[in-house]
Amino acid sequence: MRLAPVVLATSAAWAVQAHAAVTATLKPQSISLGRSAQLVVTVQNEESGELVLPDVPGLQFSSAGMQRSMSFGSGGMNSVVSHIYRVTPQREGTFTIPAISAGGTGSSKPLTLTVTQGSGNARANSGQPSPPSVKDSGPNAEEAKDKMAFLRVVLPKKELVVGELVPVQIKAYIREGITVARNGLPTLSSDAFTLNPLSDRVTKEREYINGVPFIAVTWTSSLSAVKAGEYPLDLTMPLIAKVRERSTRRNIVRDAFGNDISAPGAGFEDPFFDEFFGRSTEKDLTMHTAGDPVRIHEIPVEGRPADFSGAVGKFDITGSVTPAAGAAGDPLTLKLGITGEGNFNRVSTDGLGDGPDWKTYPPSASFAARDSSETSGVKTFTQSVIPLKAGAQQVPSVPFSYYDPDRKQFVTKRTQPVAVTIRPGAAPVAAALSVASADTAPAEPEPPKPGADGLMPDKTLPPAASSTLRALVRTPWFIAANAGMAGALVLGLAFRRLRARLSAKAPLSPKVLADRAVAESLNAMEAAMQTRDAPRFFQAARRAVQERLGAQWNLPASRVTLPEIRSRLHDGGGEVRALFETADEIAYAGRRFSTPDLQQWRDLVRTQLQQLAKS
Amino acid sequence: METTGFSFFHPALSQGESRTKRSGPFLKRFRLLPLLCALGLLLSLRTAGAGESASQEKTSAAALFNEGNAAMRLGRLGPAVLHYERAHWLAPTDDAITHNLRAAREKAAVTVPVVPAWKRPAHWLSLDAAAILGSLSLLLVCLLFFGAGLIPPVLRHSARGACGLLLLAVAFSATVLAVRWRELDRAVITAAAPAPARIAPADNAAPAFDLKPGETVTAGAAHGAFVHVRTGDGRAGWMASTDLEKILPDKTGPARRVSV
Repeated sequence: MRLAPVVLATSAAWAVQAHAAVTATLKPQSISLGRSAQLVVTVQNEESGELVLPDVPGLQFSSAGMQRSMSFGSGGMNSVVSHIYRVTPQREGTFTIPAISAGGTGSSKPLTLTVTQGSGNARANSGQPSPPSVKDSGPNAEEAKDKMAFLRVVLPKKELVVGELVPVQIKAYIREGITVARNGLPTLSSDAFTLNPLSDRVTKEREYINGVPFIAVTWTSSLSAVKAGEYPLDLTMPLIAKVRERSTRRNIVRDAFGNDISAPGAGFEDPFFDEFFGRSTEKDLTMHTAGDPVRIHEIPVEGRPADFSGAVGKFDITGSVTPAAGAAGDPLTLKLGITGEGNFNRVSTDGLGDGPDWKTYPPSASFAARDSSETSGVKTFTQSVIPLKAGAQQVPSVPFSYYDPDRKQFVTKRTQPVAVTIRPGAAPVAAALSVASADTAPAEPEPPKPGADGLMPDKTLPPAASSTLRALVRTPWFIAANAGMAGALVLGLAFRRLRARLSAKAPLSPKVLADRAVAESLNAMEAAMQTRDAPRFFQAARRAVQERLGAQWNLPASRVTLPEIRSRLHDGGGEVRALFETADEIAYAGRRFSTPDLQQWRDLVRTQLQQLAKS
Repeated sequence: METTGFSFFHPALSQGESRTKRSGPFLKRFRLLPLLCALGLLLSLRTAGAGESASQEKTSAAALFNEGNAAMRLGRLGPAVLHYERAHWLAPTDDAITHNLRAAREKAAVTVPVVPAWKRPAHWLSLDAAAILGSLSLLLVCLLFFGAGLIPPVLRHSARGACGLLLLAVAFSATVLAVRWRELDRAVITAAAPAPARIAPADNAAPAFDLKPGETVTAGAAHGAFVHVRTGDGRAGWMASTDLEKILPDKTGPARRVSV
């Protein structure tokens, strides 16, 4: 270590030999009033020179930081110091920024800034060259001076759409001499966002904020908006901070001349040397951001295409068919490539549908991300399609719809129709289809699989929510309806039982009893006629007439006999008398009757009963 | 005259020819009147119910599922289990919801009491499905009972058999609802940390045991800011009502939002 001053002295000599230069760049060179431009003045190989900014009426310069880098090459050590300024115009017009000099070693070329009339309410731009606007959740430059560490979340925009997936950067700014490592997953305070797992790749770079050097540790991921509304994007990040302390051993490090090389001014203040002379302590650190609100808009229902699957972003679709020629019945492969930026987990297509010329199977999908946040890439859908007809055919165009959050409208893009030549197949198409279905095993839509966090992925939201968290058995209308039905059933049963009981107790009139007995006798008479049982037939017929006459004469049926009939009817009632006499004859003499005879007797009995009922 | 067991009138009344002739047509004309009245009542109540449900906050199983995922990613296990439980209530056959609910419970280290064997048949149907089955069966029984006179004689025997089966369905549904009625009062511990169940509804009462976030309990009576809870293994205590949230909200209107 005693040789260290010698090495540094040699390096300084090389640096002096290197060429000193000052360059200035202004971006953009034309802005509207109310916005700011970024001026970067780069000073090469000039350590001691102070930068002198010119005074331009109408322009206001404010420092936004400084970056320093050193490199060793064949020409010696090369040091570059970049001073970053924010240039804010006070009025519109064309301004010329004169040459900027540093330490008398050189000067830059003059620059021109054109300021046009702005909208008036535009916010001053930060002047950062990176396209995403910084969601500055951490302290501002002045506050940063007093902070040892702070956290920022960088979002490309502050207005999102439900389902939209955007890349996000989580940047931890820490003072030099401190190293940090993740001690868990970052958590969001709002359920309106979901944060995907952070990428394994972590970048570290030195940034100057108001002249204060910070190490910016950046993790990348993607953020998805879950529900509409305005929510703060507050994030908590658990970290382990490792702080290096100056070692007491430095006091005994002396050079060859006995000087303390660890003393201030000896050239060893750089934290680089702490790696060798210091020791470190670890401490748990939880960093928070107090984010500005992010507005999340609902995807409109109106104008939503039928094939919209929830894709939000900017996409393009291409299609290709391989092979370009085939036989009818032989499967072709249709590949649909959807490229762009957005929520690829919602990008889906049914592919080509069945038609008179094509038999198709559901496509399978694969995704290749282009960045660590997996918000851009290409999703390829591979579909087996079978031509049913020979000749020059065209694979129809396939639509794909998505919602463009910048244009705030649905966009439907289509593939170009692809021409294919189909020759007649050797086997009938139907047979080929069955073979194809057996051989190619058309891929069924794959069920969703758990992600890295062990959870099944989010679902596509239905166009309109229609369910309520209410048990059916506790809804008043359901209870009342069932109670009404059960009550009606119980009342009906009770009513029926009551009527039956009342009817059993009610005395029936002789006429009703006679009618019932006559009906029973007629039924018995019919049954006897079917079996050609003449004795039973006449017995039933006589009983029916006895019941009827007994009711009319107020006599028991058993007392209605042939003598009684003669005495009451005198010369009338010949048919009735004949019936009684025939019945007696059959009962005692066993006379036989044919079926027509019995039918004739039945008609006669019915006629007599009707006449008796009328009389 | 042949009669069926479902006739609104006793067979003795319809045997008399003269009585049937006198009252039959009139009564037949109004035989379905009670049933029509019941149907009218049903429709009007359904309309009222639709109006009432329109005032409630609408949601969907997918939205609740996504909210559960968001809560899981934030490490809020209680709200995650609550959202998954609610999504499972709306879509009981959804495998993804079942998977994530199980994952959330495993992460929260909470267990679900095993259903006894004699209760398992009651879980063949969801509570809503059992309610619909019983209600429809009851409606069909009413139709058969009050409309028996309109059934052709050749179908009356089959109608009796169908009525018996429908009554069995009503009994099964009623049994399912009786066995699982307490599930309607299930609640999930949504506190950020293990919350104490106390022996009395007071802040200074001694804690009886602690419940983990994501644990499911049966909520009972409320007393002030405390709710009586009972765990699956029979322990009971009083918890602060802010530490738990019912899976099925009690009152009409939006469910209380659970911050994740």
